[in-house]
Amino acid sequence: MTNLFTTLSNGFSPVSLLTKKAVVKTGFFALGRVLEYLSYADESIKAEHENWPEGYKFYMKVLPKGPSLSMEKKGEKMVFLGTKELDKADMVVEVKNIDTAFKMITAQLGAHHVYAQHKIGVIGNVSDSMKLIRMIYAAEDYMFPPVMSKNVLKNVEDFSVQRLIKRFRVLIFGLVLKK
Amino acid sequence: MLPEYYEFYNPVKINAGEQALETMAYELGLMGAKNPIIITDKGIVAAGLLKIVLNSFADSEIKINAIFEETPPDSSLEVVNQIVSLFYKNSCDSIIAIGGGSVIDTAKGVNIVVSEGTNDIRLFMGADRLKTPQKPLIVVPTTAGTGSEVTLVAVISDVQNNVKLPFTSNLLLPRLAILDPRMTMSLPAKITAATGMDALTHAVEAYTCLQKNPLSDAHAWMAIKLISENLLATVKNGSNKQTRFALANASMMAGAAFSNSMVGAVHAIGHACGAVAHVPHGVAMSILLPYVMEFNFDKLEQLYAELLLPLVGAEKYAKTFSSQRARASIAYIRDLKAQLYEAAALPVTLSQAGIKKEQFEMISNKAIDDGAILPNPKEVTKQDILQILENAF
Ligand SMILES: [Fe+2]
Repeated sequence: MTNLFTTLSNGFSPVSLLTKKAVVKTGFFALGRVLEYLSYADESIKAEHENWPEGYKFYMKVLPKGPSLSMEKKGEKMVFLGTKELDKADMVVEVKNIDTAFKMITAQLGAHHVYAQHKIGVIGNVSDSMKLIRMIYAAEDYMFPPVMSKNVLKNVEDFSVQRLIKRFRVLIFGLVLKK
Repeated sequence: MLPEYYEFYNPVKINAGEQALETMAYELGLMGAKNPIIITDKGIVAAGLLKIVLNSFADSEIKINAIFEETPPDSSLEVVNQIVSLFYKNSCDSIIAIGGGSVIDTAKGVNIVVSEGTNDIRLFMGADRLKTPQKPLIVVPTTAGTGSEVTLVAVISDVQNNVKLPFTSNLLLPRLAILDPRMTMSLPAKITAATGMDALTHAVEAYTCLQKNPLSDAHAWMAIKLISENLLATVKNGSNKQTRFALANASMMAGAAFSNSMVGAVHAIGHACGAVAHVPHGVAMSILLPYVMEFNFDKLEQLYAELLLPLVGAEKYAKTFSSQRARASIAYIRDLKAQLYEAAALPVTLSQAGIKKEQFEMISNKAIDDGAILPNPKEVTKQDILQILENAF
């Protein structure tokens, strides 16, 4: 897996750019779906957006032309709105280039590194963006096997059967069935 | 070890040393400016520092068109707007900030408004929102701690809505910083101690947080050496020009380091202590630094061991077993705190600083949402913060 990603991330041919965009778009789609499911199914993630008002919108956009991951608070959950940017949002997270987004979405680079390397910018409230980053962390922890998530997370939870079952539930209900 | 990728930017010209102030007129000329506004506060005026600056322009073509002396300890939108009208009314073309963190942040805020030609500074809040090259800004720091003369950050309070507005942009960096030994001479012992510990925290966090890089390391290393050699001596004897000047240099270098590599959990928790319990920033830094170092110990032992060299010097470093060095670094900082308490009554614990246990919950909620939590090399949970607060109580 890692070899494939390394090959994809090297070089700047138009094909690899298109491939990267496609991978990022697919990744945003998966992440959006999983976040939507976890936003009401996982207590800790629910607590993060609890205080956001009804209709609170954000999108995370890859500069300059996207794709984006857009979500809106509706009732108790955050609803995934798709991979287009929104006209208006309460918070915008800008990823400075497609390579960074590609590395994030393929578990080669964690959000804290991206932030520390000045590769993302936030328009809006810093504390809201911290909440979002924690939600993404939690989602990635479910989505990636531990061998991959150790690149993106500072702490990876120890293996447990309960956790494994939870992971399958998230992937099946969030990603496949979209319940 | 070098990071996979890093950025470092510090275009601020530094004029430092004897008679540094007297170079300002010439430098303003180079910037095409003739009519600066001076932004400062009452304390600076009372200490006679404004007069020294004004005298440095004698026999020059610079005409100071306006002076604002009322900057409060917390820079606010109202004050920024007040100074902006003064700037326009007197046809100023540049800004000189004389003071500590609040004065410098206020000056950066004024510069955003007059350079972007806006009437709502909030439109430029956040990272990289500035679009226009700013007017010439010269900073003359009168404390040795914040390092704001070389940072790309400004924080302005929106008092009406009770929020702090952060601005970060490369364009916010001043053109010139003047480190003149005369300007920090009158700083009281306790403030010297607190601001010095703030600078030490900038350097330690810059050296150990996620975006450390060779350039920030070099700045942080020298800052730590200068602080450990000069802070206590200056607190005990504030009239020593050389040790004062060393601290001014250390503060500036630590500022350049953390402006690029960012700070970590000490700052995240310290900001929250400030917001909830009004603990002065430097005091919070001093109290929390060794406790957060303990918390990060398993991830950072190697780097803490390296820091023993600039902290205690070559001889003591060589005499310490390599397995003991990281612990010795923390012990040194604890000891420094104890001595600063003795010399200047700088609080050592959160309880001494007036924090109540009932405030822990609110502090930890705020700290976990602070941007400085992310670059901390070890994951920090709310529980961890509560434990650190408990330990530091
Ligand atoms: Fe600080």
